[in-house]
Amino acid sequence: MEVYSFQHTDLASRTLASRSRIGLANKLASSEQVVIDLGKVQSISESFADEFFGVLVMEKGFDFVVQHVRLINAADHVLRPIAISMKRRRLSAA
Amino acid sequence: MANLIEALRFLPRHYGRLARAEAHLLPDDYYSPGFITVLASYLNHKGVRQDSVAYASEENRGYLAAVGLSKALWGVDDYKFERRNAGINYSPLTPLASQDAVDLATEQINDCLRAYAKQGNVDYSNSPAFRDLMRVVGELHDNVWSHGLSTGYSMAQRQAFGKSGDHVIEFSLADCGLGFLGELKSSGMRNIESHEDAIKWCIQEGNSSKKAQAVDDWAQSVPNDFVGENPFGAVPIRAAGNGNHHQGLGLAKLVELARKYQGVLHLASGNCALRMSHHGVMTYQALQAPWKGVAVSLTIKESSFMSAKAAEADDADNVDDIMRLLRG
Repeated sequence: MEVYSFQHTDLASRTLASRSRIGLANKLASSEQVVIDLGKVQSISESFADEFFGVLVMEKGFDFVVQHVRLINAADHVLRPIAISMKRRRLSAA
Repeated sequence: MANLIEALRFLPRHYGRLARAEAHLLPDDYYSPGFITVLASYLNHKGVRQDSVAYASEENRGYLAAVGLSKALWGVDDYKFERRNAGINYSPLTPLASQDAVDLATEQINDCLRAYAKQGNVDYSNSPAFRDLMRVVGELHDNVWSHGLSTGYSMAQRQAFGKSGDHVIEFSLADCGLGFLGELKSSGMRNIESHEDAIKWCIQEGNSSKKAQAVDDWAQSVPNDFVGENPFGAVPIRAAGNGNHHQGLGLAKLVELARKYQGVLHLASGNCALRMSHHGVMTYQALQAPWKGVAVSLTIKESSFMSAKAAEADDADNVDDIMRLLRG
């Protein structure tokens, strides 16, 4: 299984997040599961987390995302803003 | 010490009438990151040449060469030595020249901040307050190109705080972009007329000019054939509607960070500058010469990072469950 990772240690750009989300959505159209390695990432802004993961939840649904996307090697302080953004978008869609 | 507010007053008063090729003399002083980022942004916006900047003090010349003023502004590195103190007590002056520079700039500044965090008596790099600072740096960097649409400059510095043994970290960022009021007006908001009201509106959580826009035209700034550096490879970008789901979190997080950890915050745009004291008291002061764009400076004592405790969120279990699901 192919594993994807980001180039930078600090993720903040909504532009990159948006491009990455579209890229991920394309991969998900042909793959059962996509694995993202966040081991190199040391900080992630709430805006990046929202633009990538939160908006993915808005577009695809919460259950779809947690079933088809795996995040590996993520530190708690990196994964938490992602989970918060997903929760926020899940609630706003409810 | 010449700080951000002094730069906003000094530069238009003393340089405003000078032609670009005339000598722009920098007086002898101690320049904080707030002053330096505003200076860089001003010189870049005005198009001042490298040989038109003069220094009353060789120490100032040396320090500004060390932080990389010429390198950041004109692409010419005039510092002849190894930068031994880069990442020890200052970060290089970091330009944000495009949307694609945001993450690299954030990495450069945060790398220096992480190095500062490991230098003191206590390593506070795992402090929740420090984690918040990392995220706020990223939010502010992204704002430059999501909102300001003009080159910005950022910098961070660590320095001793009196004789207490404590140190302070100052992070600063300035651009000559649209500014808060300009961006709100270009977004079609008509009920905000003054720069002070624009600052007050923009620092409220949930307020974003992008959310206020009826039509999202931001995506058009990306060429249609852009393949980008995203990890999933080439991505066809639609002309509009591919992103920009702004939640209005960045500036609210900046203010919250300053308030929670007794920071001193300066935030200026147009003819208004907000100052928040370490007691959390906000005052607005008028600027005689309006600043075209946004200028931010945040100073926090290292002892505040060290003593910070993680807040226990009401919905921690819920978020923990999502984290478990994502890890699989």
